[in-house]
Amino acid sequence: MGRIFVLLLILGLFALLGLFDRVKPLPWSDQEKAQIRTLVLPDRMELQKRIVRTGNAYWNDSQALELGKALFFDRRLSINGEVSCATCHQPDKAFTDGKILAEGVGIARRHTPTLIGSALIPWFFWDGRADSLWAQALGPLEDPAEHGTDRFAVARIIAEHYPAEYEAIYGPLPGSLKRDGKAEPNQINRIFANVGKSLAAFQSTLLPEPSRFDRFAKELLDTGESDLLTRTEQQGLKLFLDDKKGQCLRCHNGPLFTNSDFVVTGIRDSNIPVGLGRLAGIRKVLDSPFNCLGLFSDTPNQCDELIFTKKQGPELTYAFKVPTLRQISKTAPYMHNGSFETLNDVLHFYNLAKPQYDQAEIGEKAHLDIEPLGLASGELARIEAFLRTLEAD
Amino acid sequence: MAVFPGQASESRFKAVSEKGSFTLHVISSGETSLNQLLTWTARLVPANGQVRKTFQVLRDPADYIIAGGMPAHGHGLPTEPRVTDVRFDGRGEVILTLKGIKFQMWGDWVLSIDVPALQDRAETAFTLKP
Ligand code: HEC
Ligand code: HEC
Repeated sequence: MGRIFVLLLILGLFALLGLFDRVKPLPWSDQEKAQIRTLVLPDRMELQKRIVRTGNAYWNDSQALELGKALFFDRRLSINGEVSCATCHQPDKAFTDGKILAEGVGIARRHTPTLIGSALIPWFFWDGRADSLWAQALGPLEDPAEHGTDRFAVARIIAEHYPAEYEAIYGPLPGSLKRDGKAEPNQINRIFANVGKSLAAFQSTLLPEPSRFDRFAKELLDTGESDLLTRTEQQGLKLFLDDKKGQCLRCHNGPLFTNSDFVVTGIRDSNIPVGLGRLAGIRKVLDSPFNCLGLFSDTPNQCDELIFTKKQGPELTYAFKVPTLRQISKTAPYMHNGSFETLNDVLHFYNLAKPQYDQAEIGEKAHLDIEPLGLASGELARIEAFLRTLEAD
Repeated sequence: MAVFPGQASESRFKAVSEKGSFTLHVISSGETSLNQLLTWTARLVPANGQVRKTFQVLRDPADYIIAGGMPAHGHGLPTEPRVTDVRFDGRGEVILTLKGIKFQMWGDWVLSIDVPALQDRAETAFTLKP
């Protein structure tokens, strides 16, 4: 009898706690509300306005978009006829592949990032070695581990399979290319760049959709409270915002939960011993004929991002791009080397802030932008619960 | 330290230089959102006639160096901003156009102007808040 009573009491307590988790609203300070306001996803019209158009006059051209969409899924654009962009950027996995390192014709050096919201940021690849979405697209086509093809082969495929679609947007293809598959290098480069611009036009439609967090935030800001996030998720959000506790907002800020900056978090590059990160990326983008200032750019007078970006200094060595956290529950594994299987692993890494390489291995004292958090594992679990609310409904 | 709400259309911060030869006023323009390139203005007010005279020959943007960062986080600015224009007003004050400024985090920032010819620099501090 007594034992049953205790059991009932305990059960009752749990039920009460569960209810508590739903109903008791957490207080939110003005500072927190102001922070939350900066994270809410703007509506689609506003997002479209914010699309970064660097060098691409066709970003919004509907014919370019259609051509780009066809090219994105076209496996003929690879040396073995088996790899398309969608091999690694799979629509049902938020345009990732679920693999540690990407697999195309071979095994790539890095992990596949999402493409949702890519059009809203100014730098591409984990090390930022492309300064526009269209210049980015040219990289995987010629990467021996990804599509493994080259710009000449790409131009021939356009002339053979998409001549009408291409010419309707970009004007006539060189006659020699159509006749016998030959053209001048700069004619080929022009076609290659236009393929990139079409792919970028398609990717500019891959914009993030609102999540449960966004609906919570709107209700909280409108009415002063909301239970669209559980108490646990709200506690996780508080830790995420707190500059002493979670510190996440330092880098994962703005509606995409990224500042698009390059910072050192101590994640090891698969390139042994460690790649140079942003320092190598910026050198590559400055040397690229397809950068914003180059011959194939449609906006060579609007290249301030490239002109003013940081080009040297110890802060760039081993620095990688801060990724978006929208859709994060769909894009495991994590980090540019895919080394963390779960969000729990990521959070435990941040809690200790111990780089994956050591000083002896890289032969110098590297800059580090994160510091140990010293949170309890329950707190880490709350942050994780919050991160899971960023998935689009 | 000046608290600086990002949504304010204009804010001003000032600081006397380390050796006292000038006072620096930094003036933001437009809304200061994170992760956007900003163009701000700096006004350098000479402390005396001697400094005013020295300034008169410092007409090259390269005579002024911008630096900044978040000392508490141990990092600098995410960009390499530059002085792109040097002007003088009727009172001999220097007006600099600062291009390529960007802030990628909320929190406590410093922004400084170094004038090597005067061997002097001034640093403003402010808290950027949403
Ligand atoms: C073999 C798998 C694979 C293929 C095929 C592939 N990608 Fe990727 N993609 C990746 C990987 C891996 C990265 C990150 C590489 C790096 O940073 O070094 C990436 C990065 C990107 C990025 C940058 C995203 C960001 O946030 O920086 C974009 C955009 C992109 N790919 C689009 C494309 C397009 C368009 C194609 C087809 C032309 C394509 N990818 C083909 C694996 C692939
Ligand atoms: C100093 C800037 C910074 C801070 C602070 C920071 N991050 Fe990150 N975050 C990054 C960078 C950079 C990466 C990518 C690192 C890499 O792969 O080399 C990243 C990656 C991630 C990823 C994996 C994303 C993916 O697609 O693979 C998650 C999840 C994440 N961060 C969550 C958090 C959380 C939660 C916090 C707070 C506890 C936090 N971050 C704090 C910069 C930061």
